[in-house]
Amino acid sequence: MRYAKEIKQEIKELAPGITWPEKQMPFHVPAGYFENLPGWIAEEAFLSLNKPMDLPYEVPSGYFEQLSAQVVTRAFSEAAVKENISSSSDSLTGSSGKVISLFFRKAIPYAAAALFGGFLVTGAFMFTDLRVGINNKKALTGEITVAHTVLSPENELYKDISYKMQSLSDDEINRYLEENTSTETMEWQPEEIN
Amino acid sequence: MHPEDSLLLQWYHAPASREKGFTALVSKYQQPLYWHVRRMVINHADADDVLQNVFLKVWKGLANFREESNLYTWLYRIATNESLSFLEREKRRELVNIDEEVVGTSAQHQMKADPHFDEKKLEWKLQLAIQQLPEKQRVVFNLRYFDEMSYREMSEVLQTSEGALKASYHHAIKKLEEMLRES
Repeated sequence: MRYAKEIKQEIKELAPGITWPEKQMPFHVPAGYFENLPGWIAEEAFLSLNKPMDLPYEVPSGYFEQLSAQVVTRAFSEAAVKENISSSSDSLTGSSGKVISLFFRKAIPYAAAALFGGFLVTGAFMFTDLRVGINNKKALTGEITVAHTVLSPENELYKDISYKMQSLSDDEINRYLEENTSTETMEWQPEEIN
Repeated sequence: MHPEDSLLLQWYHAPASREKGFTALVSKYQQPLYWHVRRMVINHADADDVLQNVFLKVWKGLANFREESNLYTWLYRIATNESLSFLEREKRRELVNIDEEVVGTSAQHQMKADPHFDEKKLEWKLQLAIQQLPEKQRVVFNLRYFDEMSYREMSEVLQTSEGALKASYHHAIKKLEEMLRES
């Protein structure tokens, strides 16, 4: 071989302390194997040319011989039936039928779009109106806390309370608080105002 | 391309001499390809199956073979791919049958079951050690050591760079050296 020397030298350099065996293979081959192999392979290869596919299905005998004739006959008969149908339908529909306008069909998408737009506008209007209505209702039923209403500096009631508070003495305020403070009010949390 | 290979291909491409050309090709390459496959799959029956598949693929693909590349390395590429596919199928089969007793299916067990096996002989020791290499290194070592291919030819067979093949071969030699020292 062309590279035998080079390869021997390379392996000597890479693993100098090892005795590498001769390149003969220790495996055995059945007697006559290589003499017969080209014949077997060639036979199989040439057979594979004529063997269309390895399918487990069978075809009825004479199928392919009759196939073309059957296909031609069927094609002709189908063409004849089609021709008969078209000629008979022509004779049945001698007068022209009623023409239906396509206007309504074309207008359907536009109508749907208009309807959808209407829903959107109405929904938006109702939603904003509802919010106002809810807030008014809450205010009337006292659900919106007094703090919301009273603590607004623009509120007249706020100004009035401030004025009145200034006229009260500290003792009066302390007494009021002692009499009216409960544990619930002590647990009051500022988040509720906001 | 080798002049003899050009002649084989000429015979193959002429319809009248196609059979003659193919039979000549099989006769010329059957032994090197058989041993290349056998070193990978170990068992003769498996090597025979793989080799027949290789030549059938060659028969089907030869019409499309581009003559600017080397016939010799093209054949080795098909044989290597077929061997590796066979080993992959065997691995999967062993995984599926893991519950069953599959002792003796590994390459080393197959070798030890060979009637000619002799663990004192250096050739057998080397074969046992080669089986412990990773698959890619095993192919690289076999192509270089037994088939005496150049790195360029090997790179055509394995579609890998020459540098990577050199590194792989050197690693393989170092591992085998260690294993042979221990044994």
